[in-house]
Amino acid sequence: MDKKVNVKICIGTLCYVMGGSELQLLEEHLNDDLKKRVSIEGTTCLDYCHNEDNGKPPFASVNGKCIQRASITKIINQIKKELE
Amino acid sequence: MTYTNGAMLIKREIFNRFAKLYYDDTLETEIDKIPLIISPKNKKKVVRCCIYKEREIVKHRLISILGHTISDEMDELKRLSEYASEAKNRTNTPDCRLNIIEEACSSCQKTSYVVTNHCRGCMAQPCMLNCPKDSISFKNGKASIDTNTCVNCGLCKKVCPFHAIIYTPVPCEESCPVDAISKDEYGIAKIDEDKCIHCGKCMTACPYGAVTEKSHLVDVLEGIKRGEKVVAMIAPAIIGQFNTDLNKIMSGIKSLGFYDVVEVAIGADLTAKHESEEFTELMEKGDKFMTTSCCPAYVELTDKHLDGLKQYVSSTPSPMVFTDNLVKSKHTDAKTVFIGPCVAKRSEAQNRSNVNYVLSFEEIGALLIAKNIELSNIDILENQEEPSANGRGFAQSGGVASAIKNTINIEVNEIIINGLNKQNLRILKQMGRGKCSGNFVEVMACEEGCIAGPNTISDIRIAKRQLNKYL
Ligand code: FES
Repeated sequence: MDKKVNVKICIGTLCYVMGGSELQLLEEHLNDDLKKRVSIEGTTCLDYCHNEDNGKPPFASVNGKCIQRASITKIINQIKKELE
Repeated sequence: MTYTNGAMLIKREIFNRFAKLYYDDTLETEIDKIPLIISPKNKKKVVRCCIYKEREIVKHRLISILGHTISDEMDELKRLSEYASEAKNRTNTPDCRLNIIEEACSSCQKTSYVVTNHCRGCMAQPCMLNCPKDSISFKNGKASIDTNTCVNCGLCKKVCPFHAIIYTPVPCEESCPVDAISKDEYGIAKIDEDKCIHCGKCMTACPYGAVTEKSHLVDVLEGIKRGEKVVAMIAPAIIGQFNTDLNKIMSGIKSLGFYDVVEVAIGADLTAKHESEEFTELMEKGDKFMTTSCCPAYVELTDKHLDGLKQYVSSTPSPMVFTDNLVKSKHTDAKTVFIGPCVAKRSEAQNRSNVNYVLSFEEIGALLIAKNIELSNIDILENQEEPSANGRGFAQSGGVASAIKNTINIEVNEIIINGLNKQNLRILKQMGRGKCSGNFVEVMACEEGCIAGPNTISDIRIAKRQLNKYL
């Protein structure tokens, strides 16, 4: 029940320019229950962007798993999966 | 307002690749490969009909990034590398007319109301009974609209109990406040330069990214390379655009090789001061009202469409012009680049100022990315001249009016025109006939102001939040 999820949002220049700005609003989109169980951290360049195999920016990581073309919905879906 | 969308992301990806090649000094040898990299032979998800069409579109986008006029293309076999060397060697800055990538334009169907297959051919048949032009009949138990007589009034859509009738607009035409964009006989978009006010709305509206600007990137970069004093003048809207402090943004831009980086908000302070004095004078003289002059799309609107309103437009120079004067009085040999969210500033720079170049936030973003500059890790700039909060506030709707109010103590009854939409245009037309319920009118062509301009990067909520930290 006490599983925690670590979310890292890339705020590197590349991810930000490629549509990452709205990810800053992630916290506001979490319900109270999720808020308690998720820690959100903004980091510059998660280093995913240097390998095209990782997909396209913007990037985020949820418990170390790379999310490409990240959106708030995609991240929340992954958070929920991690909590299952 | 701009939302993240695929057309925008592909455009930025191309900008990024372009900038990378430029800095690697391989532009001429590698640029012809970009279309193939974006649409490779084995590409799984093709957006257009095939990879060949996609490549052609990317090629034309690059011609535009190189600052050329697409419709000037005579020889289709001419390679991008040739366009690139021409761009590097030119002395004339590309003009402000928008380019249309004809292959990208999907020739959207004429604006119309369409009966979908949700029509149940109901007994009430309100669509048919209420149509003022008798354009609806029932065929095979379903409503059908005669497009020859339909006048697009939309009544049928309103009265249908099943929401079975939909409105299909042509996005570019729908977005244009002055009917400057329309289709030629082949259905391809064309812009009428006599009407266009360069607001950039069609550019963001087109879901195919078919409207694009002619970039000054090569001209700016070559100037820097030649060792000229290229000075970046950053619009206050930049504050919300990168996820870091303004000073670091400035420092990042400077590290691209600019001789100096100056906030246009310093010019905005001067605009506020002069405009306040002008306003006070005009009111004492008994004038009815005065409008702002800092939004170039609005100024062009009065030039091309609202003759009656022209006399009410403030004659105070824009923040960009004031800043340009300041820079050039300090360094007579400087070349200035306005960096902003605005398409119309290209027109102002070309026709109503001495500003040398204009770059967008996207373009500056591409340069930072190509140079691997991480803004949040960068050293800050010391001793930068700081404008007031008033000047920085010019970036959002209401900001100019409040700057004026903060500067004078005569009564200001402001009217805020927040975006050139149909309704606001009607109000402006009224004002052109001298009818105005206030004495000071602030006009911004973009809804929310420059922070939501056509070339912005940030989500508007984030941009506002960041800007307001500095106000
Ligand atoms: S900038 Fe986001 S992963 Fe590198």
